[in-house]
Amino acid sequence: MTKCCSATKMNYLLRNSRRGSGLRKPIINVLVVLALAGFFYFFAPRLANQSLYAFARPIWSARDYVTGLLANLKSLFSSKETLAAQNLSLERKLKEARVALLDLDAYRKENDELKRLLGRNPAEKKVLALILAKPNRSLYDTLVLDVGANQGVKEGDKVYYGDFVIGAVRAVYAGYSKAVLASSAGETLTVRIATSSIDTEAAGRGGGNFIAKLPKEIPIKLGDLIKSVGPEPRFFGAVEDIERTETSSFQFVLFKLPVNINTLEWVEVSLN
Amino acid sequence: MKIENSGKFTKQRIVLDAILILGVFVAPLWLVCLAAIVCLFLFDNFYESIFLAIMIDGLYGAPSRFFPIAAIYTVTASVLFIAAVLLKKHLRF
Repeated sequence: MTKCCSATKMNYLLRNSRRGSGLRKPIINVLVVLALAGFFYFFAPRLANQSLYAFARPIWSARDYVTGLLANLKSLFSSKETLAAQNLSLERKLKEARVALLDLDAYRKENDELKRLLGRNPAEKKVLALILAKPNRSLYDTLVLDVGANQGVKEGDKVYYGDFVIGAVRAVYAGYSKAVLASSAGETLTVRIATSSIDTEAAGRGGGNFIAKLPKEIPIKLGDLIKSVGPEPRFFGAVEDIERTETSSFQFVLFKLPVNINTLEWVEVSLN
Repeated sequence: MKIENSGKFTKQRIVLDAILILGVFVAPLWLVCLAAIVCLFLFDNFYESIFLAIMIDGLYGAPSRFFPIAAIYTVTASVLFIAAVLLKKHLRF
């Protein structure tokens, strides 16, 4: 009987199984990392971000240099005829744009003169900013700009491309700032469409696109300019599409910025 | 498929970390995220994925209406890290 018992192998699960304990350590470590990140986010945000941007700036400059070189190389492989045709087409477009600009300059001067006579002459100070990182890089619809508190930029300052508002500064550091695009999902702004006197709220849909809801009776047509409310209206875009249904009493106006954000290199930040 | 000595900081892991960090600045972020997710399964305790996510949130993140704190990538990376640890325990890795 003793021989029989000694030959038996014990084959049952031990009471104190260590199988579950492997998850506790990683979770604790993750929480510690998150706590450290949270500490820097809430108590020393400028220190952490400033160091990051100081590290990123030369890398971004090198990236832009290489991208520029590759773009020039691409043209070496295009045929002469294609390049010549492209050149002619661009020259023609440039001539048309110059003619249109002559009128625009005259109207702008007249507008400024009228405002001056009426006692409305706000001098808007702007600073030119290089875009270091564009919104197509991450889920955040943000522009990283090379101007910050040192150049007088503050949170809430508007970012322009020409006369079009493309966003507002949301975070400012010493030599850098982050601007959230006006068209980011979740962002809303009060606008006025074309010559209507009705203010409506437009919501961003990402990628430079907006949607606004208006009563159906208001006449809107494609190409109408969307502007901000106030004595110094700024533009947000032009109407691209209008959605109307028979049953609804509203129409949905879809508009977008006239420029492709992803191809921009410079913007202006208003310091007012 | 697991890499030999995947829990330790081998040359492979250090080179990969350097490439991923560089990728945060120059490469499309979807590519960096995909590579980080693959590394979560190739290596043990790939905490670098959380640090990468913190870098991305720091560089490009800004508070918005939906996310008052710019931490989308950090939270997602933390959840994926825990999920990877759980999955690896139950799968043959």
